[in-house]
Formats: sequence, structure tokens, C-alpha cells
Amino acid sequence: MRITRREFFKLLAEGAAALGILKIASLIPSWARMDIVRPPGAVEEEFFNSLCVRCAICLEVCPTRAIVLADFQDGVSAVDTPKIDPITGPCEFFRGRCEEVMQCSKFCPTGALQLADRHGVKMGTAELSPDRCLAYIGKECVVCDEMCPVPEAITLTSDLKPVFNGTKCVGCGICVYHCPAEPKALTLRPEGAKRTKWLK
Amino acid sequence: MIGKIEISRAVTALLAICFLAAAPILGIMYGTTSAVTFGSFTLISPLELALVSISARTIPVNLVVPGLIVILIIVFFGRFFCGWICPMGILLENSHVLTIRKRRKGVGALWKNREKWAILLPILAASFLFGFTAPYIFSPPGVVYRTILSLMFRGVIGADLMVIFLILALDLFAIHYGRTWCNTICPLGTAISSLSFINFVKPKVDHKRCIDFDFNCLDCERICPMRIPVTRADRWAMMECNKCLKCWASCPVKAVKIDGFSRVLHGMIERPYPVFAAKKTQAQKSSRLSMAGPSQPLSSS
Repeated sequence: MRITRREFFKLLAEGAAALGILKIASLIPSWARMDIVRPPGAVEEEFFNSLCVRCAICLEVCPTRAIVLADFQDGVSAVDTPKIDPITGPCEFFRGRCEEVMQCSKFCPTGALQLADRHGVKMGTAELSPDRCLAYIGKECVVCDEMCPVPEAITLTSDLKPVFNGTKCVGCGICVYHCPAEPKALTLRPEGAKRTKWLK
Repeated sequence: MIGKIEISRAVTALLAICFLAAAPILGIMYGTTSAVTFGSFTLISPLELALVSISARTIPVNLVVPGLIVILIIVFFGRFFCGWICPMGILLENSHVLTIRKRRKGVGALWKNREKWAILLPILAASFLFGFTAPYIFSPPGVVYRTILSLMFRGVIGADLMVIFLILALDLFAIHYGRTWCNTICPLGTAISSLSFINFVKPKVDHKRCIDFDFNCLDCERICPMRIPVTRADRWAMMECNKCLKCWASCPVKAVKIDGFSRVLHGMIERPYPVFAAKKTQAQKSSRLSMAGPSQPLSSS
């Protein structure tokens, strides 16, 4: 297996061209989107994309159907990584089926999701849009307050309107899942997420 | 052109899909070909291990043993996975049934197929530079399995179906017969084939029986989906072999033997590929009886 000089330079040029294409592609801002709600116990986003091997084990073991695979709209570098979609299911890591051990973190083979104390995890923050919330447009609804597992994350005003406390919220998405408004008055955002530190 | 071997390989691939789909429901095993876990025991594919180690700049301690087990299996059995389990490979191979007759010449010295390195190495370099690991989405068995699992468990087909169509289109419009994706582009296949140092199941040509020089037969090279020049290949070229047994089954004079499995396979299947050599059969018979055929030089194409 001998390589002539011409072939060697051709090979070098091919490699350089491929690298250049990848470098240009990586400059597109959508490739490094940080606004994805990750499952509980996820390591920091910059390590998450390199540690996750897209094996879909977390999707299989999730008992509440909360984990879905990210699509192209979540950024090309995050395609097929797990994200929390509170509309298909709530994440019950704080109270419910995964209260004692988080199944996704237990089965993750690479350590992209790590077992963590549930009191130290914050996946994101639920945000309320008053223009769609039933309580704010004049109907009676306190579903989110009843369902919320975290004390003092949602408080009711004297006229039964929910007020969200972003610092207490753990971002489990249970309120989003149960919100009866159509479309949902609540959205789950990754703001203020506390990730697990990845120890090399 | 779809014989018993193709059917048995397709059945194996289907059974693998059924197992991967049924196992998580039964709670035996979770995962796709990127990584599987049996609860406490984990296996991880070598490409994924390399990408994780390179992009995270360290080898995660919990992946060393799972990775080494799989690498050892690959060192001994090579691309067995590509020929018998990977659903994408079998789909690509059988989708070329219509075009196979067009390749009338032998393949020539195609172990100079170095484009695959120009694809795998930049991918590894890119994952080092940017912490960018999108090549996972081009690991075709993972793509197929993820599509199935996502459809089963969530009723949603994600980004993966697009990738499947992309690979199919790439391969169908490629000029060569067989698995252009597998033998040139596939990063997983390149990673596997470059690890298979021992590779003890591989075709071996008995040059006393081979009628290549007399009749320019080269059926084995024409039919090889990995485009290995079977009669002339050294062990580096044989690293690509995916153990599809097509060369063994297509040889009109039974000159191709499979190392390691030969005794088990002997006499199991009698020439399921009569396409190329059908016209020559009469000539071969007379040649083998008289042992004096017209001698032609090997025409390298």
C-alpha cells in the first residue's frame, strides 16, 4: 500500500477541506444553542454534548414519557440528545415515580446524566403567560398550585391567581403537563438550571 | 440475486431489531448499537468511545472495560456486525439488486480506498476542536434503531428519518455497485474495519482451483459488496470484509474458502448466484476435465 506524493497532497487537501467546512458550519449560531431543558442530573451543556452517545437508553427507561429526542430545531450539535418535553410527560424526579432514584441517570452508560441528590437539582424554570392563564382571564383554575410538588414555588394571591417563584421552582414540568389551558399557559425554560458537576 | 444467504442475513438483522425493541419492554436490555446496558453491565461501540474520549479530552473511567470488550470482539471478528446485524447495510446492499448486472469488470485494486480516512479523521479532529459530536447521527444502525425506539416509545419520528433518506439517496445515486456508503463513508464502518487486526473469519482463495487466469472469472470480486479484490487481497484489504459469504457462495469452482467456518458451511448452499458465470459453466466443466484451458493474462481494469 504505497502512497504517491500527488495522492498524499490530495489526501491532505481533502482533510483540510472537510475541516474547513466543519469550522464554517460551527460558526452558525444555531449550532451551540443552550436553551434545552435536560433531564435531571445532566452535566453542564458543554460537556453534555460530548458525553452523550445518543443511545436513547434514557428514552426507554423514563417511566413518565418526559424524555424525547432533540430535533434539528434544537441545534445540529444537539440532535438526538435527550430533552424534557413536559407536554408528553412530567418529570417526576422531585416527587413521584423517580423520587428515590432517577431512572435515566441510573442507566446512562457514559455519565452524561449522573445520579444526584434531588434537592440539589434544578432543571429549569416554569414561566406563566398571564394572557393565556385561565385564572388571569377570569375563570377559576388552581391546577398548577395543586399539582406542584415543591412548597412555595407557586403561591396564590387573595383572588386565586397563581404567582410563580422562580428561585424555588425545580423545573419538573408537572404544572405544564397538567395545565388545562389550550394552548398551555405555562412553558418550561432552562433559565437558572443547576447542573451536576462533571468530575473527570 | 437474493439467495439463501441474503435472506438469512436479513432475518438476522430483523431479529436484532425485534430484540432491541422487545428487550426494554421486558426489562432485559436497554439501548441501541451506540451503547447497550443490561442494568449493571454495559457495552459501548468503539466509535462512540473514541468520540467521547476525544471531545471530552479524557477517557471516562466507567467506559474503559465496556469499550475494551467490544474492541476485542471486533479485533477477532471484524466487520461481522456490518454484514449480519446493521439494518442500514443490508437495506443498501439489497437495494442495488437492479444495478448489479451492470458491473461486468473486476473491481481492480480498490484497497486503495482511502477516502474513508479523509472522512473519519476530520470527524475525530472536529470533535476534538469543537466538542462537536454530530457524527453520531451518521452512525446508520444507531439512526435506524433510534427511529424505531422513538416511534415505539413516543410515537414521534425525529431527525433520524431524514438521515436515513439522505444515506439511501447518496448510495443509490453513487456509481458503484453495493455499499458505497459502507465501504467509503460510514464512520462506524471505518472505525470497525481499522480495528480488525486478527479477523480470523475471512475468505481465502485456493489459487490452484481458481479459474481467474484461464477465464478472467473474478465473480467473487464483482459480487463483493465491500469491493474487496478477493483473489488478490492482502490482510489490510481483507479488514473491510463483512463476512457476507457472497464470494464463497458465488464461486463457480468452489475455490473460495472461508477461514474458520469452512467445515460448518461446506455443502450447505450450492451456488445460489448463477448470474455471471452461467454462460461460462460449460467451458469451465470442459476445462476442469481436460485441465488445459486457454491461458490469458490477468486483465487489470
